[in-house]
Amino acid sequence: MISSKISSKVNGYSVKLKGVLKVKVSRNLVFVFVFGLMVVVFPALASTLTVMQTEAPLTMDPSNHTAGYTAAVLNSMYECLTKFDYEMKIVPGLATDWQATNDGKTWTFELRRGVVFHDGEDFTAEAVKKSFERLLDPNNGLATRGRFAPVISKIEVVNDYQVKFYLKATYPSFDRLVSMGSASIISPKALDDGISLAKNVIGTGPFKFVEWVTGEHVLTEKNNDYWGGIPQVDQLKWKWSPEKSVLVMALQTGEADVIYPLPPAYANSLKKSPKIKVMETETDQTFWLSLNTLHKPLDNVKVRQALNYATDRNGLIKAIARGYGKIANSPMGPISFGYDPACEAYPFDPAKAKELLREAGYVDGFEVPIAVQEAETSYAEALQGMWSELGIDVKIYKMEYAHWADQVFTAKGDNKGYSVIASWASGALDADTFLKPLFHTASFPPAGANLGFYSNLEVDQLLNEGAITVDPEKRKEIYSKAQKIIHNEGAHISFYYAKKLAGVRSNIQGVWIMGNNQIVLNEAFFE
Amino acid sequence: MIHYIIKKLLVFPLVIITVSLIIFAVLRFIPGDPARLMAGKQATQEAVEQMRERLGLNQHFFVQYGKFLKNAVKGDLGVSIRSEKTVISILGKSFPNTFKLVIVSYVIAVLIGVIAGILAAIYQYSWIDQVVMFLAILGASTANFWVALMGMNLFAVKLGWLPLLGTGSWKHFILPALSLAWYPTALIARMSRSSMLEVIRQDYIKTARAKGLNEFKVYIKHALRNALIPIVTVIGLHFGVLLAGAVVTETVFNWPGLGRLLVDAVRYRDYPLIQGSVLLSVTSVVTVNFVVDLLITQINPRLKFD
Repeated sequence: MISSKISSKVNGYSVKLKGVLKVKVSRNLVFVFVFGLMVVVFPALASTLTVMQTEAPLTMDPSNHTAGYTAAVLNSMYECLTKFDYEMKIVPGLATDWQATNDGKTWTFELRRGVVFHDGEDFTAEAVKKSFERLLDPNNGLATRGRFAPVISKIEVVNDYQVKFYLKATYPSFDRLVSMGSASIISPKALDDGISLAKNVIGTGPFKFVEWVTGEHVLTEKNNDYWGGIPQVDQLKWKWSPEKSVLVMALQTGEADVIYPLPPAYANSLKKSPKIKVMETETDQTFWLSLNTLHKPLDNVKVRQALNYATDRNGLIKAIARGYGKIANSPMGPISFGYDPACEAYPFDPAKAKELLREAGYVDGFEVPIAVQEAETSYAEALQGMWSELGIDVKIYKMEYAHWADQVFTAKGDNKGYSVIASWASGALDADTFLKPLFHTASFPPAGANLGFYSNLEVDQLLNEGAITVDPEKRKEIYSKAQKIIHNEGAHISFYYAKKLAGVRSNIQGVWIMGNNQIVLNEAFFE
Repeated sequence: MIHYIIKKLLVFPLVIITVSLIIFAVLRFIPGDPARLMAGKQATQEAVEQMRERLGLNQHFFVQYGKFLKNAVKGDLGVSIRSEKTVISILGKSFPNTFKLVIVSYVIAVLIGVIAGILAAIYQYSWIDQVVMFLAILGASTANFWVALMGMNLFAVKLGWLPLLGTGSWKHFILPALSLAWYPTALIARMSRSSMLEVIRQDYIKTARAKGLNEFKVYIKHALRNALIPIVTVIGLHFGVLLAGAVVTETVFNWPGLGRLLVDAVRYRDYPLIQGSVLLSVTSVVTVNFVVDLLITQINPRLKFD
């Protein structure tokens, strides 16, 4: 788009120049004239890549949110010690190398030299220490503190480019944990000066923060001092609209260069447009219904299994994900470490479901109240249809986000009894961060996302053991066992693993969607 | 007249204080905990409580309200929970955008509505009347977000004549302003038609004609002035309707105004920002209604205010 604009403008001037040449102006003068025009014209054509999402960022503080859309904006400006590559392997980020002691309780990170923060400060071990201490300090009340506080005991600066983490217990996936956006490294000067990180960004990433106009956009510009490859686009502009059709129209008109995520319902029609390409990537995101085990009859394993058999997952993939999904055979995501492909998916078998309900003593059916937000309503409606033949009456309680969060994340004593439809993806792509928050007894709301209050001591023990087992093969075995128990007991009805889609204008290259749902735009450029 | 104005001006702060109390109370009684939303779904209860303390939400309702009122009088509407920017600075950027959009829509609605209504009345039962009434019924019965989406698809996506989203040039105003004006135009047209029809059947119009005045003078000088009284009242009331409609229109068109701001603020229970936005909206509606009241006295001298 930009290149075509440039050529058409330059061509326009060349037509005028032909007229000038007729009056025999010297070649040198023409050259000076054209050069002068280019100097004037080119800066005005700074290439800006506009990305549209469905939600506005919550804050600019990387450690004070758990929202994917906010993370997408911040990921281009902040960096962590480690990161995932395109094959979802952990690779160096701000750390070039790291080692754990044999007991897995002390981790030493060698830091990258020559890295400079956006405010001109040098990146050193002190920055790492200060960033993590800020995250861990309970007085700061940061939203993601709970992920790190149970793990990290102390951070020690060995020298300018070496830092040591002392952990409270063995944690073999610590290198994955520090890759999460909430562990971004912030300029120590900004922290010392008390600059509000809710509205400012001072990281080391390939893009620098320019402005956040509330309700309008976030603008970033390329960081010419970036230690890695300097971005090819001059600016990234983030916009948002809750109306999905507006997102798609923005892409069609070129007012947005990238829309992420692209709603599956629009994917097939956009694929027909030569100006747009649809990117798709298999991700860890798993859609599920968490069955509320606190109340009858869902406290009965047979009933939960029956509902699993009565769910037509293929139907859901076809109708809702428009084919962009894969049946979930396990309660955890397929990209995370520890996923067991051998776990057997529940087949759609209404006869078996009836049989199980009869055995459980619920031949006449019962009521299942389900709490959903707008986006997940269609799943509940589909289940309503599927389960009605078994006499099960699905009551849908549709709530807007704040109300939903209030109703669903209530402690056991105050629980409202809803089963809940939602999705989960582990940023660290590890079984510990996937399974523990969803199925461990210690993860009952409001502290965790075990929304159905599933509790099994054996599972708790396995999850605890998996978290501290260093040997990867042994860890896999432990998590495989845990997955099978959770799956067999039907704590969740795992629907499918979503393919993540992005709509991108055809003249843009270098956009990546990662298996952990992140969109990477550092290498994007206009053809 | 002066008494009336003074009386109105004295009531003004009372209205604002009452509204601010209502918003303050309603926000705190509807479900949704800003501390939980801010701390994150997976945050521990301890983190949520810390956040609540940081936001000052653990204080008694009247303490919170008292602080809000005291600061508001000094022009300080607080700080946005999410972005930590001052509410005044955020509103300072977004309100002018909404105001411009509403004014353009207002002008469109009034001009088209009044002219179409009057023409429909003058040419009652003609094709003009039928077309105007058809469009008025269509306007009153179709949702403005639907009209907006259809307009965007046709004029921005298919034909490429107009920009789709945001602000920047006069062209950016066309689609949002027309879709926002859609419903009020229809109502004003219907109101103007019926008001004009009522007036042109009066005896004094017959007298005017009997005096030998030409039709233009009869309609404009004698009929319109009287027909305008209910029309202006409806127009005045519609400022609030337009401001409310701007919430949807701004959301659909990514218009960086008060309405769009409010939608985001409500979603995340950003109390200070919601309070500030609603207060500003109420103040502008009350002001416009006051101006309309004054205008009516100018149009209809029979109305004397004591």
